[in-house]
Amino acid sequence: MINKLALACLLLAFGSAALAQTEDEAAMRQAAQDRDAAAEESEQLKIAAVEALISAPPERALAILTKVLEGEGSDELKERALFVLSQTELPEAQDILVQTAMDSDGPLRLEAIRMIGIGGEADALARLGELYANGDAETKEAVLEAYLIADETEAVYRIAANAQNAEEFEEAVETLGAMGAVDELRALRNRTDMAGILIEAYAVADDTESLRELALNSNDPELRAKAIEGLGITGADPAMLMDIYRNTDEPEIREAVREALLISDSDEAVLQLFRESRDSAEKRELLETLVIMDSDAAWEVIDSTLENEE
Amino acid sequence: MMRAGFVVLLTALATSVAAASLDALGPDGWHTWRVPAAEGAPAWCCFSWNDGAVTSRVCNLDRHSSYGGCGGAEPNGFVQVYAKLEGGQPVELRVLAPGCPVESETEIADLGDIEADASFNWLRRLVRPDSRVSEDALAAIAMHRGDPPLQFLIDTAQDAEEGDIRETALFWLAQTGSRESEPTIMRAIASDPEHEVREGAVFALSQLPEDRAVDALTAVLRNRALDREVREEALFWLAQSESDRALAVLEQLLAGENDGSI
Repeated sequence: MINKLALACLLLAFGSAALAQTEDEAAMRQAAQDRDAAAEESEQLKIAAVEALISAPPERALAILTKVLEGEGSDELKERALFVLSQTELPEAQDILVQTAMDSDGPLRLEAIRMIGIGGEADALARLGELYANGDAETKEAVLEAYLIADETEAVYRIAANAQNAEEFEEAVETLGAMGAVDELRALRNRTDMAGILIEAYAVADDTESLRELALNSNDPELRAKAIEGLGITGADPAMLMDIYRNTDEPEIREAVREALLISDSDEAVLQLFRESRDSAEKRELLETLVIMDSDAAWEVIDSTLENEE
Repeated sequence: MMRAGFVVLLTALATSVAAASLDALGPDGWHTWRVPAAEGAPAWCCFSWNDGAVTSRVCNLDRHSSYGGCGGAEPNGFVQVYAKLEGGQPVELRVLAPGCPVESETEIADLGDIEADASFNWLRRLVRPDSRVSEDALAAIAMHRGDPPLQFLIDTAQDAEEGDIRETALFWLAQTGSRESEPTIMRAIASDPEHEVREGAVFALSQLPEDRAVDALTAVLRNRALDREVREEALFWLAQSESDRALAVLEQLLAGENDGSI
């Protein structure tokens, strides 16, 4: 039987051991934290050194950047190296970018593609077509982004024109829209099966003329409505939208016009249509639009009317 | 009809307990009593929504079923109050039509008929910031017959410390449809210190019977001394109204000088 003294000694011994263990753990944790901090500082120094190469003689920078890309450094370090390469005016730099895009995978590949876009060098950009043709969805998206950065409308147009499926077409057309590539988008108008996608791109590209054409002449009421809403996005002349409204009995088209006027904040036009309408249900729809718009024009009229009554 | 595991209380068969008191409601759990309803009080019961179709259903007190005027029950001059106690404190309240079928996993103690004043006096103590059932108590009070409940709603709308309680009182005051509603709500619109309460008061006006709602909202819209936000609320609710009069008011105000410039 263990007496109390022995028990106390045992507890003290265990307590001491436990305390020592706790102290060891704390020391190990601290050491690990110190190592992490040192590693982080080292990494930041390397990144700063790579970025400084942007001002170095190109040939010297190229050699170092190549080593960085071939080395065991972090992805962040390599991505910075890619950026500096994109700014280096040597054909070899572009070759390295292209090679990295071809041979790497994951984020480094995508970053290399993006840097080709940022660099804007023609031969490197031309090689992106091959990457697009053989690449996965992420690669294709990165190539489109690079073309967007470099304003390569022709290359994106070719992708759209040769798209293998609706999704590819849509991505390329959206990119053309973002690039404001009106001519290229108009050249795709024969793709009537993709009219909805094209209408959205016309709106983004601010192609009021194409939208107006579709709003007035498309045989498909849904496409007409979509084109009308697109006119709202482009801020088309409210008078044009009002004419469309006045010359139709189709509820969907009128709704699209109300939507377009709402989008373009054309409250005076909505107010005018409200005054012209002789149908209660329609007046309520227009009124609802005015209220949603928090129309200053409406409030000016209301307060003016009240003032005149006084 | 008994359901397995539930006690179904058909409150239409409840026996009257003369002058029963609510001061000591008894053990924890659900309690119910019937009180004379205010004129025009709706007959609330439970319902479910499915693709826009409303279906009446049994009210399960333990499951917070949606309830309201869509339940298909008929008003009969009374309302049935259900109160759940935990630790001696009310933690849930409902007010339903007496004929509304109800179920619970535990027994519902039926106190029979209670005078409206007694029920109101019990409920009014629950309208306070720290109460879990403040809003339900105000709803229940609005359904009680008599002047004291109405005056309580008016006083609470004006004097309650918490803005949420004032706003809820305004809403239920409008729901009573009493003629005293408009002056109280208008005063709140003009002078309640909280913006949300003033906007809520405008919404309360929209809940009045249609013609009165249009008149009251029009008055707010036309009053240029009021702040723009409450007038915008009035414009919004007038525009939402299906009343031809509302539309006519707005047409007249929006007529302006139509120079056809667009």
